[in-house]
Amino acid sequence: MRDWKQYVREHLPPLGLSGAREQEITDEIAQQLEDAYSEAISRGSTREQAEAHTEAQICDWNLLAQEIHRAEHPITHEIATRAPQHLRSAFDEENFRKRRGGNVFADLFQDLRYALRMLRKSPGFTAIAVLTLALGIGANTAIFSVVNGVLLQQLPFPQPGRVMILHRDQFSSIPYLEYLDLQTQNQSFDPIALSRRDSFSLTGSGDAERIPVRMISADFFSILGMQPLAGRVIRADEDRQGAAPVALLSEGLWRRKFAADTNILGKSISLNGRDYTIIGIMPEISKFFSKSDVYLAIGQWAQPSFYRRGYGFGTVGIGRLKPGVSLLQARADLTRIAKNLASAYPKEDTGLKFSAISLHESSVGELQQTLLLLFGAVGFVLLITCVNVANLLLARANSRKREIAVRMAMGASRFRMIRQLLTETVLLATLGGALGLLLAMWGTRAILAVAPEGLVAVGGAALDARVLIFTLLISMLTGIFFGILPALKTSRPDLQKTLKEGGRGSTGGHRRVQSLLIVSEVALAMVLLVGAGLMIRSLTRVWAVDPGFDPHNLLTFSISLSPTKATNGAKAKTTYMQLLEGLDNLPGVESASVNFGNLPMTGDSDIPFWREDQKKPDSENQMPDAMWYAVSPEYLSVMRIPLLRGRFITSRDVETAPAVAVIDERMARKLFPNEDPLGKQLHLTFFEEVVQIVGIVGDVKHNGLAATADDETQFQLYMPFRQVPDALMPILGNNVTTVLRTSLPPLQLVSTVRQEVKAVDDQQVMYGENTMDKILEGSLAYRRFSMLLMGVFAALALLLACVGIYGVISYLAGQRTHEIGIRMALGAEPRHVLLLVLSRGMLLQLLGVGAGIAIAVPLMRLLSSMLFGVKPTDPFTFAGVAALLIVVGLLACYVPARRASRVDPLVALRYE
Amino acid sequence: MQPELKKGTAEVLILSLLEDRARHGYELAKLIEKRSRGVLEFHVASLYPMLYRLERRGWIEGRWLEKAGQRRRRFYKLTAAGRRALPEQRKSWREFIRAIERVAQVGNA
Repeated sequence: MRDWKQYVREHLPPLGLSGAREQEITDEIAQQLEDAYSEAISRGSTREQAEAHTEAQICDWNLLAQEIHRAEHPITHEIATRAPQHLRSAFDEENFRKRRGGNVFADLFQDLRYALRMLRKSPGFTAIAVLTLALGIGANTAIFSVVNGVLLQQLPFPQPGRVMILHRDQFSSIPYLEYLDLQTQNQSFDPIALSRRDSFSLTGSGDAERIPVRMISADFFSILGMQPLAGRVIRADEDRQGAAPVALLSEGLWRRKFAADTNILGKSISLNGRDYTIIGIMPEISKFFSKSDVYLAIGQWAQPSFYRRGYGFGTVGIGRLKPGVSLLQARADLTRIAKNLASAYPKEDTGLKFSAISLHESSVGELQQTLLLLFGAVGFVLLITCVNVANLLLARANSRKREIAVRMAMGASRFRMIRQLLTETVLLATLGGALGLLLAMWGTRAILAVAPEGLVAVGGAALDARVLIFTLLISMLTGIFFGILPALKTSRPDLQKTLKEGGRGSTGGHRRVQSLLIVSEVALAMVLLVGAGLMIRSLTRVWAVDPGFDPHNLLTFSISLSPTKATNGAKAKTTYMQLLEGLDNLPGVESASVNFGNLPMTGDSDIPFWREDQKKPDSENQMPDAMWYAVSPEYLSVMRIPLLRGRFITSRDVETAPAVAVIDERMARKLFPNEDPLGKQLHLTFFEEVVQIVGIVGDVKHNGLAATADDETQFQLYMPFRQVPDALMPILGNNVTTVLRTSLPPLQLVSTVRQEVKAVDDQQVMYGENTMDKILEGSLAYRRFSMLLMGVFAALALLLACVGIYGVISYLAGQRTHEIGIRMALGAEPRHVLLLVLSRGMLLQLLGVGAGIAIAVPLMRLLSSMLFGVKPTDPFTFAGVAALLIVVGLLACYVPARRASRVDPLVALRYE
Repeated sequence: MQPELKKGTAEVLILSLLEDRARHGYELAKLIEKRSRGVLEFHVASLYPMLYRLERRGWIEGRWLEKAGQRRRRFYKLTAAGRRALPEQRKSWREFIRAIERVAQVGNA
């Protein structure tokens, strides 16, 4: 048998009585229903008939509640119907306080139960509202979980906020000698350490491979406050020339290469042909520094130019602020030291500056802006969601007028009603939030799938307690936010009128509010669409930029020579020449070249120079810099960079021939504005060489397609790799990229190329295979990522706005059925009605578009640093988006307008 | 004539039925339906509010009772005040009937 108590509990509106009394009444009425049911059964009815009979016993639950309330509160009721408003609410306030004693939860529970019933009563409304909210909340949760994973992560060591990253200038390396000066002269850090990345060939432990290595000074890990998993860290006496070579392994390498062997301490590993004693195992640091497999003492590096003042080798300083020292004080301290050094070493350090930023900021960097932008955008989506649901609620409010009026006539205060209505909306939002959380789990995975590698490396997304709290919180706030306006409007019905009219009250007020909501919704969608539009236009502009070379069908990889060859300059060069010859002959390879400098978009290293025919600047800081490429003669044809004047490097430019260089067109133009650069000589301080310019080639977009004007001041200088001084080969020869122009899809060639590399010397390691197309794509990863997500959010906004407009216009047209009927009875034609409804919708659209433009113009300026080739106020984007919104809005209005125009006047009039 | 009088007539029915013994709500509804041969029918929506009103007024008193083999039910019995009020109620009901008859006879003539 059915649980009739449950049935009564579900149907009887809250009576505003004590919990016990309500319980008693519920029980008694349930008993009555049970009796009626049993009787029907005993008369021979089927279960269905009996249930129907029993349910028919009470057809109007509101009336019943009203009557019971009247019986139980004879005096209150008198006041409710006769007394003026202020007395009424005072009386109710009184009632409320009386009951409040231990009953807040009982009330809340009652409200919830009632709310649940109301939602179940209109499943269509509930489904649409919950789904809409789930989209909005889900999108927010997904982005928040990425923000949480990246920006809010706690670095896994004590007081991470006190750890600073130090650079020379903004991002340049701190030379070793300057690091030593910083260490002795600074008063704000305790201590300072130096670190640089490199990669070494690991041999003798399975297959030879290239592994990432970090050279660190002794204090590196004590600054981070990290302890080794086993063994010890590098001691100060080991961090100097001539000390016994020691190495720390990362946990990852220890597990991968050494099967987590606990007896590994004291054994040795071979890196670049040298044996290092393993002294400890360190936990991973890849969340805030780039991944390293081995740590070596930086002070042991036997590279003479490393100890030259003014030369960077990719070193960064890291320091922990002393207690009580602020970042500002530390920066002032660094400025003081820089001035001291500039006067002590004017040749190298004139104009020297140091910068300090927190480790967190340095590891998050570019991401912060991207994520905050997306977080803002997704907030807009949530606002639109709120507006949409508020609109739905307002439309529904009309049909609930009678219910509200009855309950208020029973003495429920306005406060009580608003609370009840808000309980409903918060419940809706919570349901939406729960579904949204599911969407977010899926969405987060989707986001990570398209996210740039950098984002995944620094933390990706974390769906943890913080995210759950966030979701719960925004669900509640959303519920209150979209619920408050409808609740305020609904809870102020004209009681008498509503009760008299049987619920068909006037809705003029609602109509105005709804129109306003539609206008704001269109405006919000406009802002998002403009943002997405600008970013899409930027990306297409970037893609259209000529990189200065042909990136298709280019395979690149790095080679690390066997240890004996790597340390001998002449041998290294011969090996590369052998290798190039072998690669050239491979089927599918058109031509091959090496590059000792850096490949476009993969890094940069500048060298200072001065014109031999001009006065030598006082310090290297005052010299211009050039990006340098030490290449083989085929480089130009491999990359398909155009030769503009003179000649490129040829096979005759060998060690014994005069030193030559080829410069790019920009360098020629800027450095030799009214002269012929050919034949001019440049002094390259790094190589201690004078080179003669023999040719001019096209510019290459070295820093990525979207490089800004600042980066473009970089000059490019090509020299034959055979003319690199032998003494420098051990360090330059460590970072050699090979570029192949292929006639087949580049990655298909990897295995044959690998065989060829091994054939030349089986101690050689080939690593970092990639195609130039991929590298190009990677350089646009963040831009693509933000554009993609902005696009998705904008599409979501458009969809929601569309649904919202459709809903409201249908509703408003429905409300005017009677009027439309009269018009048609008086001779209006369907097309007039169509126009009538359409024009109403169009007016709202246009107002929304106008408001959207007004908001978007100032807001898009925030975006300007992420745009390329378009202004934040790009008129095409604005016009296009406005047109899109209007067309889509027109479609959304058309359906209800057409329906309205088909109204049968007879039917419409009979309604009243 | 008090406009409340019609409601009073319904009340008098309940009070009368409770005069000889305590009964529960469903029983009252059934009895009224039966004794009026189906002419008077009490819906839940009016019966229970009326019982509660009478109880508030102190004329009847409800108590939860469990009879052997049955479920717990709320039985209403007449209080002393109710017993005192019943004759007055019957009187005003008779006056009402008479008034109706008079009016109806004038109408027929």
